[in-house]
Amino acid sequence: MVKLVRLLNALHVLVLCGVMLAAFSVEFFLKEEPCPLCFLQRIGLIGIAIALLCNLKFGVKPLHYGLGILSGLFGAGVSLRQTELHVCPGFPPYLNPILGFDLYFWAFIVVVCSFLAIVLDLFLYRPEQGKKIEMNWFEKGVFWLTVLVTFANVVAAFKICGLGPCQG
Amino acid sequence: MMVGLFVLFLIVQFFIFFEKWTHAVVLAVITLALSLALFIHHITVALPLRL
Repeated sequence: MVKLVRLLNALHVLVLCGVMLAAFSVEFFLKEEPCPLCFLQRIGLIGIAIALLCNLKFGVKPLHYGLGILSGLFGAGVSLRQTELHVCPGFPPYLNPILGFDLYFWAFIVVVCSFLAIVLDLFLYRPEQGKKIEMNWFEKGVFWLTVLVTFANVVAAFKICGLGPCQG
Repeated sequence: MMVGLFVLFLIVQFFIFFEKWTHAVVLAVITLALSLALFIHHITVALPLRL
């Protein structure tokens, strides 16, 4: 059961990194730069990933799941705010829709799916999962991928916003 | 400011790597609080002033 839960956590982080990489591909290949609210949604997603990385490094604890839910609530709030800004008829969307939905609404869908995954993990939680175990190669790979994605966001935010407040 | 939030999360991952649990969790919570503050600033000040 411990191995299953750790694998689920690692896969969850991998999916979140995949979503972030998809956002980067929209930025670089479709030339659609993220806005400040988009960056805040990315912070929410990275926060969920960090909470799950804490599970992999320090042992599975409900506190880490709580941190992930807190991050997800923040990300969901920002994406709902951005959806609200563009929902009125005649108001132009921020970017071109992908598969029928705007990117900020996809972010909300990703956060809700993350909540469902965390609910599943909590159903499977047992106290013996809290034991600290050495990360295997897959978990280490996922950890470094998250570091890489976070660093890429630092570069992207610096390129678009500089060191001051973001415009737009 | 936005760069700073991502840098803080990088530092959290640095703490995770070096097994500093308390530092990692506390800094993660602080970063989320600062993100919330930036979000509220964006809603109440930046967007109405079209900054």
